[in-house]
Amino acid sequence: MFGFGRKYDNPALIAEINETQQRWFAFLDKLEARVGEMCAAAIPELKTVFAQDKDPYKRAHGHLLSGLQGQLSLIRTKANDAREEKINGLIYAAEGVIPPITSAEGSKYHQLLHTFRMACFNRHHIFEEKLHVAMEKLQAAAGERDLETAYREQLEAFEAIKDKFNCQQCGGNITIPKMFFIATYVSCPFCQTQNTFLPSTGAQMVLHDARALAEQRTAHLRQLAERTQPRNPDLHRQYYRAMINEWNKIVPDMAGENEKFYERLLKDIGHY
Amino acid sequence: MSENPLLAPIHGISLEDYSAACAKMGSGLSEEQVASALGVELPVWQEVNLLWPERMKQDETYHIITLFGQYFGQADQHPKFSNLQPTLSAEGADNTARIKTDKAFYAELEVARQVAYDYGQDGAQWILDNYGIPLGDFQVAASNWNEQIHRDIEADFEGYNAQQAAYRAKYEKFFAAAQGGNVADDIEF
Repeated sequence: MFGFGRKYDNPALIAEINETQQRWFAFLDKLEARVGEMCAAAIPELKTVFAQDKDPYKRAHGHLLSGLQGQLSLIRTKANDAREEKINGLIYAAEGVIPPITSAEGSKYHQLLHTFRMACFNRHHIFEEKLHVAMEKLQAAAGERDLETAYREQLEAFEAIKDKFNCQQCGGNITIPKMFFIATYVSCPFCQTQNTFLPSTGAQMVLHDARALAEQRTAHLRQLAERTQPRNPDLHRQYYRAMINEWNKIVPDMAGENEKFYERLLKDIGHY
Repeated sequence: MSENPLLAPIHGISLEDYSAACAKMGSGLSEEQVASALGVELPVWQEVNLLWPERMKQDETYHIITLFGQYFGQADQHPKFSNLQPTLSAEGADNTARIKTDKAFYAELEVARQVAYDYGQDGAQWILDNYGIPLGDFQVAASNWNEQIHRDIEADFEGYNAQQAAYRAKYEKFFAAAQGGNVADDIEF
């Protein structure tokens, strides 16, 4: 009356499992191929846009990169949706019709489903890894901004213009004593009038990019600290000290504030 | 007055002043206009604009940045800026007022803005071009709605997610159509 010993056979389910697995693999193959094509076309374009983008914030490059990453995200969503609908959907439906795992026939079909699930999920994991690599390639395509050259150019530009200012009141020649990064009062040595010196956009960007430049100069120490296992707080302290020193060299007027920030960073290390 | 030294005014500019000034610059006011409204000259304003973010970096409690967000959201009520509004079109003015009073309108445009970025556009500029809402006002609305949206999520997580997904689907379709489709639209299971 309970069907014990009755033979269970479902060749249609077996065929559907095999076909779904093949389609899933083929589907991911096609998505991966499209990701590869997109990256191959996009990477030279990203490099060109980055090189030609005069905007100091590189927004044209940023928007292009964001759009490409958006397309990769849509591809990821497409795969996730297919996995949920086609793979998990089949598993849930099959589990509803096959005999219990405790029966001999049920055990065979549950094993079949388990093998199917693992094969499909493993293939999806490989797809995800490839997508991750593609994301990283797009991100790294343009390389880092050459902040060192930009900084040197601003130093040279300042040397060229620092003696070319005249007092708004008496017309006397004013030498700008050092490189300023924000609007600053400068006294006329002849009539003592306070003149407002407005640094160029490029000079203002030095202040904006100072930390990033200091980080570029000390990247080897950061990598050492990040890669060392187990975590060594001394290496992090060494990196932060070196980075802050470089930062202070670039914008000496900010040294006092930078030192306060350094204290904050040290406290954060202590919290790990 | 607060005893927290990090909250002391800088050159007479309090955190409330500074937060409102940032919001108004995001809405299109120039640095000169902001400095003038605060009663200081440009060099003083620029130093203040340098030093308040430094205070935020030094504050390990995140109290200053929390207050900044709160005051940023109240920028429209700041007395020093009440008579100083950026010029907006009539439609832009209506939408700018609406986004601060209509939560659903804000929620939809927040998703639209993010999807615009996902399609390689400047989302903030897209909002300005299509609705006339400046970034600063959009951020003020975000700051004002933030707490209520968190309460909505707690009350109905699934409903909130479903609404967000619907907005996202609508704007993905819109932006995809504008660029002639997505790169993998032709690949089916």
